[in-house]
Amino acid sequence: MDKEILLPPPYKNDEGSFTLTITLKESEPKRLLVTIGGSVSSPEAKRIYEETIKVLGQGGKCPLIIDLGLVSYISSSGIGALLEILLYTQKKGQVLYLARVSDRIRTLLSTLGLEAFFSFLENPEERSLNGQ
Amino acid sequence: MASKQENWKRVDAFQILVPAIFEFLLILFILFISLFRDHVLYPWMIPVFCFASLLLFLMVWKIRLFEKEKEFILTLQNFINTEEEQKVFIDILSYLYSFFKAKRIRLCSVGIRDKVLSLSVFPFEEEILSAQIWNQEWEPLFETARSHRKIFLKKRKGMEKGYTILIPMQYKGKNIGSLDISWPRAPIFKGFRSLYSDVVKSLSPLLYSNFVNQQLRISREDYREAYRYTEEKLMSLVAQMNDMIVFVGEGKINYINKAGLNFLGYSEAQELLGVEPELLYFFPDDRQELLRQLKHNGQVKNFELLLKKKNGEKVFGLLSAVGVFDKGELKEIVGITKDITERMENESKIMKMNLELSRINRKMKKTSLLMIQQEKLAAMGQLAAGIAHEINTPLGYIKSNMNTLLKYCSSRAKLIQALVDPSVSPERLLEKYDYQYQEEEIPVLFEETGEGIERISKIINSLLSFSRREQVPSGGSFDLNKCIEESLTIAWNELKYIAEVKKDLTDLPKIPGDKGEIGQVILNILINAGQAIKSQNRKNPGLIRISTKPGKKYVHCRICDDGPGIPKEIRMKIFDAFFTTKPKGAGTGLGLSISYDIVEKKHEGHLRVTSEEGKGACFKILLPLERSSGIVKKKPKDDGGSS
Repeated sequence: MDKEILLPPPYKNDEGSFTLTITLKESEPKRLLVTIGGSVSSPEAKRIYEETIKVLGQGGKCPLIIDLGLVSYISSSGIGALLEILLYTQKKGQVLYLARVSDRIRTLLSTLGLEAFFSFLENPEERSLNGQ
Repeated sequence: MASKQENWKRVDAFQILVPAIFEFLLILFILFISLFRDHVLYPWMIPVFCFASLLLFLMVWKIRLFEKEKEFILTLQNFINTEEEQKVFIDILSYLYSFFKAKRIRLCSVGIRDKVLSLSVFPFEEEILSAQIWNQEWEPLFETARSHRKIFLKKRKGMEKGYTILIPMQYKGKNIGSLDISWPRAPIFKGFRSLYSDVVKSLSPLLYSNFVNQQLRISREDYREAYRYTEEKLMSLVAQMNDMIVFVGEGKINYINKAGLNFLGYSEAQELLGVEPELLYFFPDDRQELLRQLKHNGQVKNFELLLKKKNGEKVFGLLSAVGVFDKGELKEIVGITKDITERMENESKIMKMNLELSRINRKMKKTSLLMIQQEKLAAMGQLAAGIAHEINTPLGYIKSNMNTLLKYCSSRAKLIQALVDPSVSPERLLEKYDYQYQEEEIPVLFEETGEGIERISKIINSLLSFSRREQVPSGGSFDLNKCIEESLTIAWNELKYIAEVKKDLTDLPKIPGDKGEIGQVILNILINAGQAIKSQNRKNPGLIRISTKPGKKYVHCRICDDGPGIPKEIRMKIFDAFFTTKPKGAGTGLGLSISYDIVEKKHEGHLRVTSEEGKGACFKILLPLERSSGIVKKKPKDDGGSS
């Protein structure tokens, strides 16, 4: 059984149009999983960045996986937040993976010429984290 | 109301007709008597006849007036109960106007800021609808009218000479306005005052209502006109806007401005009118999110869209839209979309640059570590001969001692064999094999050898410590004094013939950092001090003072020499990379530069130099007792550790 620690409690905005859950998966390979759902605009992007940065060190140097499978809309602020997290993880010597990235987000990333900077996973539960 | 007017009519008819008929009949009787009794026309009869004729004429005229009055009253009664108030009201006023042969009929009311608002009702001209604000307070005017017992005749002065009757209008006990009628001359019809008064009194509510209607009509027309004007202006503005403006109704595009056509690469609005807007979206699902936000908030601000141009090209738009709702249902969307393609491209360029910078930064960090290591190795290389000599000296006497001890062992083995023979005196044998001397010498040799091994071990440990790398933030802490001792051990061979080293090391708390790197800094400074003293070719050895002291936030270390000092003109350059005053090949010019980097950037400390030319140089190293996760602290003004 995969041991999971929620850090912090899952967040849902007033409208219910955005959710954020951060989980530390203790079983090997140990990983920090950030699950985002709904519509991501500027305020949501800020929350994603802040909450993720807060807990980033808690899993040591384990990989950070951001699961975007439930994201229905993402603005450039959201993309910016992903990039900021990427920069932060690189600075800390950690690896960031984007999991279950929709065609919409992929297209946005490729249109902005940023796709090459990210590593992608088909499944956030993937055992071999070699998606780079 | 009607019955009152009927009474009034009967009284007035009696007053007019009865005396007139009686008078006329009396004259006719006199004439009849005169003509038929005397058969003569007396001269006095002529004026009497004329008078009778005039009376008759007046009677006929009064009857005619009365008929008109009757007609007016009837019309008035009809008017009160009719639905087409406005039309009838105008008719009545028109009738009043012609009936009284008035110059003007004017309706007054309380207007803006309690000023009198007058509306000329008759004559029908352009001014009929032109409301005019008199610069006159309403209440005093109304009070004047009231004090004259509702009706007063006023001879107007000034430009408009004539007579005016001002009838105050009250409705539900409230002063609401007045209706006045003006003549160029005094009206001759006697009954008009009471007639007019009653007419106005009866009409007050209606007149007021009509007046208000007139005002409303004016307001409505003004509003319509203003609306038409605003609409024209707005549409002109919308058409000329630089941003795309789209009106969507029932899921179809109803309007798109020229900027929108240009933005999406279309030439004619017809190409897009009636088209579903999501067909312009690169991700049609974005429409659902847009509608969700619109339904929830009634409006959408800064909603980013990836749009498709006519040629398939992708463009970014920033949409702000408002929804028009009917009974809670979204009927229409008015949206303005700004072309942010260039902005997004620029932002992505900045993002890419940041990522690239981050990559370069990481690479530079690796390079920096490599450089430090290489510089360390270079320093070790420079010191290699001296270190070898330092190791060789104890190694020499260890070797010599070992040979001696080996010899002693062999001698003792022979002694033991000889002692087996009982014929030989043991005393003689002990003397022969120098036993007593060896007995005294062996512990000394062992002690010397031990010291030599200890010395070698210390040098090797110092070298190992010097070359070992530790991770600064997450790494452990170290004792600066011990680090200084190790650096001195390595540098000792370079210094021992050149300078005397005096240490004043106070007990220090352990500090976080990389001992190897700080050792490298101290070694660099010591070697530089030794080389500077050596360059003076002095007879007497120089002096190097090393002192340490704890402060509030930092530990302080000073390394001072009495060498030639650093010339003022190069003092600012000594920490620059590749700057050296040493002969070519003697130094890389990186020693102090790397030292500065290690102390200032990696350990968040401070490295300072003071020097007086001809008297020596003094390097001061401040290392923090606690790390602040990579934030470089400001220069400490007084840390309590100056020495």
